[in-house]
Amino acid sequence: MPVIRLNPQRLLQLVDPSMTLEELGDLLFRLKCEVEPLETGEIEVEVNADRPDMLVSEGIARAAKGLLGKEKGIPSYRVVDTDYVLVVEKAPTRPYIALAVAYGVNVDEEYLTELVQFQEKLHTTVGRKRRKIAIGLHDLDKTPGKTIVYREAPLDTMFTPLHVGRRMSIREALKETPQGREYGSISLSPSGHPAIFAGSELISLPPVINSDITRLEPGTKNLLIDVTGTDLETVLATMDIIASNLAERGATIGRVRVEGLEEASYTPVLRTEKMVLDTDFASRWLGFRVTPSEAAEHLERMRLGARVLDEARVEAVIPPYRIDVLHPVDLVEDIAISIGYDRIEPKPLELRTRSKPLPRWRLADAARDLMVGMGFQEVLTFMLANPSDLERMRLAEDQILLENPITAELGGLRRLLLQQLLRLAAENQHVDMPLKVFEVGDVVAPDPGEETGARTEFHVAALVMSPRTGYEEVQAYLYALLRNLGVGFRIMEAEHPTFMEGRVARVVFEGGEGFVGEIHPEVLENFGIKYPAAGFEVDITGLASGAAPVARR
Amino acid sequence: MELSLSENEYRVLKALRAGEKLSLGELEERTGLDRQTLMAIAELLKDKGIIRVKRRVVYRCRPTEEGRKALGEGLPEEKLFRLLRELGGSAEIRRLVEELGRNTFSIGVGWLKKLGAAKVGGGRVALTVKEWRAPHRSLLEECVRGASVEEGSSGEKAFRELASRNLAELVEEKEFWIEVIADPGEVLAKARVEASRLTPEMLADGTWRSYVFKRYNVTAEPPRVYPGKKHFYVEFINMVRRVLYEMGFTEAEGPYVEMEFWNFDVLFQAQDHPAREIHDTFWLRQPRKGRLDEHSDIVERVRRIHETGGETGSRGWGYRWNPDIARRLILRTQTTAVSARVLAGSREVPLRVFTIGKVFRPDVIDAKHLPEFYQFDGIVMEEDMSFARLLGIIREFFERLGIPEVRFKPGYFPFTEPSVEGYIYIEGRGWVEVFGAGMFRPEVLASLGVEHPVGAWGMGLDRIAMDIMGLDDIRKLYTRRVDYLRETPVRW
Repeated sequence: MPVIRLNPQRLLQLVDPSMTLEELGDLLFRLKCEVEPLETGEIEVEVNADRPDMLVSEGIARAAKGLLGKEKGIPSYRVVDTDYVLVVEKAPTRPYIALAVAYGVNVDEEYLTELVQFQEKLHTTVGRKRRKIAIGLHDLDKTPGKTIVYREAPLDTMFTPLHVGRRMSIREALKETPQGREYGSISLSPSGHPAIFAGSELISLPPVINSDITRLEPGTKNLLIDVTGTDLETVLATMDIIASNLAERGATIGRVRVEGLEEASYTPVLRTEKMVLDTDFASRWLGFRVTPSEAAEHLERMRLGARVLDEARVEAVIPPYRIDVLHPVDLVEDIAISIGYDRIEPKPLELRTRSKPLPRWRLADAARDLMVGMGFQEVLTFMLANPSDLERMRLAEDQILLENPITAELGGLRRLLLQQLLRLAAENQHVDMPLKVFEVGDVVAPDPGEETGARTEFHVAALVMSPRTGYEEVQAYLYALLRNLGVGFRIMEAEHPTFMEGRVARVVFEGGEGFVGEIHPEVLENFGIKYPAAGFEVDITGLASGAAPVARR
Repeated sequence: MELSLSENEYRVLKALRAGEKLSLGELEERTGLDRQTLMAIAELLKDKGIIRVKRRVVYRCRPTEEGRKALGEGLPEEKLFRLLRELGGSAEIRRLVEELGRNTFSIGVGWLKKLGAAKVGGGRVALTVKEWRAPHRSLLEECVRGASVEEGSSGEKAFRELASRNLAELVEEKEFWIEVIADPGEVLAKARVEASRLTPEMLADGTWRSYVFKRYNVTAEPPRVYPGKKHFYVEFINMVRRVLYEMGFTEAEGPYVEMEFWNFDVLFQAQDHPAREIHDTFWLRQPRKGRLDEHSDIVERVRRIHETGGETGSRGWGYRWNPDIARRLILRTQTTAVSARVLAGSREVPLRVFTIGKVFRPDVIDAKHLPEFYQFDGIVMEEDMSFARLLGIIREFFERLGIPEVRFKPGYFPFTEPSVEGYIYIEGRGWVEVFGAGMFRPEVLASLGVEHPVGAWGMGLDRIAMDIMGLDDIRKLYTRRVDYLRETPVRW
């Protein structure tokens, strides 16, 4: 979830100067935010991902004042038409753009920092790290000309990138600037790169970097904002959020005429939308009665527009800064938030169903009791495993492998419990002997017959490491385990590369099978184990199966 | 003063008779005790004035290879004696050298002369006795039996002759002799025997009464015993299970390797949602894609709902849904995937199901993060399921777990609305965020074909376990250090 740093004094000033910081924290908690004071005197606010409108103090203040009852409904912002024109030409790798003008923003040092943070947080959240949308902020008064052209530009086009201090080609900017190296490949095409021109000057290279000539500074009065991207809806919605939050600061929003875009003739659109809420639905969903007038009141406190239609319906107006309302259920949430989650009475549990435990835990617990009774320590190892451990066990079995492991040692899923137990034994050669460990748990095997390409098996495995252990010892434990589980089994000579020849047997029973034996010295060497070890591993999937509500895969 | 004897002293005394002298070797045979023990006991008995211990040096005789050969073939003097007898008692030296070789003849005639069994004269050797036995044969035979002789005795001289002939070697050994100076029978009659342990035999014949049992240092540190123990975290999970069983929940399970479809798409998480990126989800290299053909109804509903909202009254996400992304195989990032699979096959209300299982996220390992951890999901589907009812069930769960204070905060999850983040109060830790919950969105219900409202929650069990058990490092839950597990007391 995005986290922003704010000056608490500025935020308090916007919300209610008489409030304490603690009261503000409680209020924001009710608005999905978590507030953490920092040593610097700033506060860190964690904002939920569905509310990008709250990534800047003005947006938080708008919501907070609603919940406090100081302001209600959708604010009326000043919007004017301008003589700026946006000409959209072809930029196939990043086809959409919106522009807005904001008069009277009056940027000071503090606001500049917050505005840049707002821009960056929008990039990482709705912008999907600038791939989906990116934002450019310009000093309107430094912008050369009122006709803004968006098109793909050849890579030898020259401009002065922000904070670079000299003119260079687009090609060079993509290679030489940190932003170029990080974002340069997103919208690059074989024939060029999308660019925004004002007059004959390139003022922005979205989504990479702006030109230095329109740079914002403390003292900048009026802004030109561009939003570009691959998804028109998101471009327009993001522009609406930015424009609304500038207007919340007191700016006058200037609309720009758009040429060459079918879907919009001017931007920002500042779109509002109507949605009807059935209050019976809301009451059922929440578990208590909400009347239409109560619903309307709550929605207005959440800074939506609302009007009672009849005794069971409210018409809500979704403001331009709210992109999270997809369905009437989202209005229900706003009602619940306005009421306060702490004021909703939890309904007591009624016993209406009879539980059905998974039968395999009964088996697992019985097996665990027996193993513990024989002096074994239960261990709990990772499902993630080192894929080369199977090779160390002299096995060539297929296994589940990850595309993006965090380390090679955790590059796949365990195929056997013994691979984890051997690794554990290798790490515990300093403890008092004998080492006797066991685990009951799942392993995963590739299986093209399953829809997920894998099947889960339920295993029990044990390992003994000591200077004197051997086949007989673990065979005795296995016999004791199976006999005490009431499992009739057959044991037969077998070959298994992990174990010593002539000291390994296969055990077979209804609902499972496995191996028991003395670990091969080469395997011990491969794991760096300096003591003899012996163990068994038995697949008890069949033994454990029973009626479960979902089929095991 | 009463004399007290240890068990071993008793055993040795029983084997001795008054006035006898015997070697340690003999005593070994009589008592079955080893040399080391016997030497220690002999010292003790000496201190009690029962025996005298004498040490002396003896030479043990061992035949050489040549000696063993001579025993079989005969010594040179024996060969010469036999030949002379065959030839009638005397013969020419020339003839004898021819038959025996110069070497054997010279040695043989030397010894026969020396021992007075033959005389030499006129180029001939003649026997002076009719019957004769070579004394060195008897000595050699004693050697083979491992005989030993005392230093400075006449025996030593004889054996040294053998050694000089290279028929045997002498090995120096220190030997202990015991002389019994008191009457063991009398000593035993007066003494009390000290026993270190009570034996079944003592009980059987009642002789335990005649023993003094040795006093132990009962406060000494005993050897360490490591009982087999269940893993504390598995036990914690079982406790959570029991709480859920008591609340009427049935347990479900699902696959670790999962299609993005069940992990994300069905849960109304857009295909470009950040959680679906490489930094937040483990993708599989082998195998890569799953099959959705058995779920074509759900797949079609999911596509429409993502793209336009379908008939749900939702706006949807407004993009082109790609079934190939949905088929991509991952390690499940949330057990909500299991809940979704359960709901896809359940129509009957009331339904209360939970699942506990490992989920996976590509987090680097530190005190707070692991790439895999246990998650615990619950779903409740009832005709009158509601947000207030969901909050009540969650509160009840924590109360039964021993945590009475729960706090709800509005939150955001793509698949629930309203969504709630939950905090519990832990003494000494304060409020800790431990779960997410909410009512499944109508888009999710419609995708799954479910007709009744569903409340759901998901929580990381590791965090709760750490808080309740007072652990400060998540890695301790999965430690591979056996000494840590051995030393951690059992929770009860």
